[in-house]
Amino acid sequence: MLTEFLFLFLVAIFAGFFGALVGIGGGVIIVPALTLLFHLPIHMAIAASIVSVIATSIAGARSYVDQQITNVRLGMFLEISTTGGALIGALIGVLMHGYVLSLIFGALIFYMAIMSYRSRNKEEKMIDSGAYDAIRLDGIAKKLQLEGTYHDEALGRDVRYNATKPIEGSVVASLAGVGSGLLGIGGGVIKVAAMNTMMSIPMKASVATSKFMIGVTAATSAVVYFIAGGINVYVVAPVALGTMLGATGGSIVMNKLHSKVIKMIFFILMIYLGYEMIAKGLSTGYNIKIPGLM
Amino acid sequence: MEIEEKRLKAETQDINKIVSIILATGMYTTIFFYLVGLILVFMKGTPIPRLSQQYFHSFGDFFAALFGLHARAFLYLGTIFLILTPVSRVIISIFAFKREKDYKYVGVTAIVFLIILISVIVGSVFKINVG
Repeated sequence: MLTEFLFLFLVAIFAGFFGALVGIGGGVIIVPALTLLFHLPIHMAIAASIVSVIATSIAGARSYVDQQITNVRLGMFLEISTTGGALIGALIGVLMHGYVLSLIFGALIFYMAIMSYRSRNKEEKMIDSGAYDAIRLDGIAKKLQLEGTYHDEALGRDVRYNATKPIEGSVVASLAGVGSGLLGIGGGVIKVAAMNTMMSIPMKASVATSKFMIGVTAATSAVVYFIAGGINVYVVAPVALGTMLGATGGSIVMNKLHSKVIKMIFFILMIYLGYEMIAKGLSTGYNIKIPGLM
Repeated sequence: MEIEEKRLKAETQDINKIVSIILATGMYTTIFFYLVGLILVFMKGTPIPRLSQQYFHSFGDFFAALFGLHARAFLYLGTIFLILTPVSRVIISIFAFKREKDYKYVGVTAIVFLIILISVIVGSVFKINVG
């Protein structure tokens, strides 16, 4: 009995730490661990995952806000589309076959993984040459005051940046919301991509702001599971405590790492995620089994 | 530094501080209830139930469990605080931006809150069948 709780706690520490490094909630680690290793029904695993995603977000978000890496305005602005997406995602989930969406998501994630890999060396070059600062704020981004500054510990200096394409960024971020409403993940991977690749926000500011937003997006989905009675508090408690601890550690380490390292971790994670999504889609939609964890 | 930029930076730091306090309060409250709950679980040696269930049938039921020091009441409370923390962060941010007279962001944050409210309604209309 004690070992069961300890197991849940340790898995959660790992998921929280890893999630904080790359700006995700860690749900992609918790769901397979709970179903495959702990043999919980998938729905219960997703519900537990969603609550623990809130926990990682709170712990990680706080540390990043204290370190002043988070762009609170940018986060608030994009939350309109992530919570809106979560709402739409929940509705679509009721009306549409999940496998179609799994396949679409799998493809999208693979695309983002490749984009992230190709730009792995670009990040610090862009900071060095002042390119993030030189990007012209477009009209809407300027009105919304989306520009920001943070102190990069690995580079040992302040990084100023401007934001661009807020509408395009919002559209991509809303997909993250759909993912969380439908699949019980935080959708941090997509949020980071929306900010870093679409809106030209530096990687670390994107990761920190993504963590900041995940809590609100996941809370929206968690309420649904909570009302429906799908949350097993005996599982959620050790998992949430573990993710909080792991996320706090991860967010302290994150600003000390070079963004190239973060991008590579992000790339590997997304390849794994994309594969799992497609495996899940093929298995539930067409009964084609390819080896997968979920 | 321009005056406008300075003002924005000071304002941002104020809002950062408020957000940080809310998140810390929510986190420690949750940790407290979870730890008490888990200590009670260990003392009584309850195994982890594999099915989710209706924990309480009424408020009276909940308070009886709470004062009777049943683990589930504390674990339940911890979960409620956890879910409500990001939501309260949104609500309080509305007032923080209002105090800073940043009406654009009062609007932005209010829309986010509205969407959460709609989700609660949608959630209770479409009851999902879980585990």
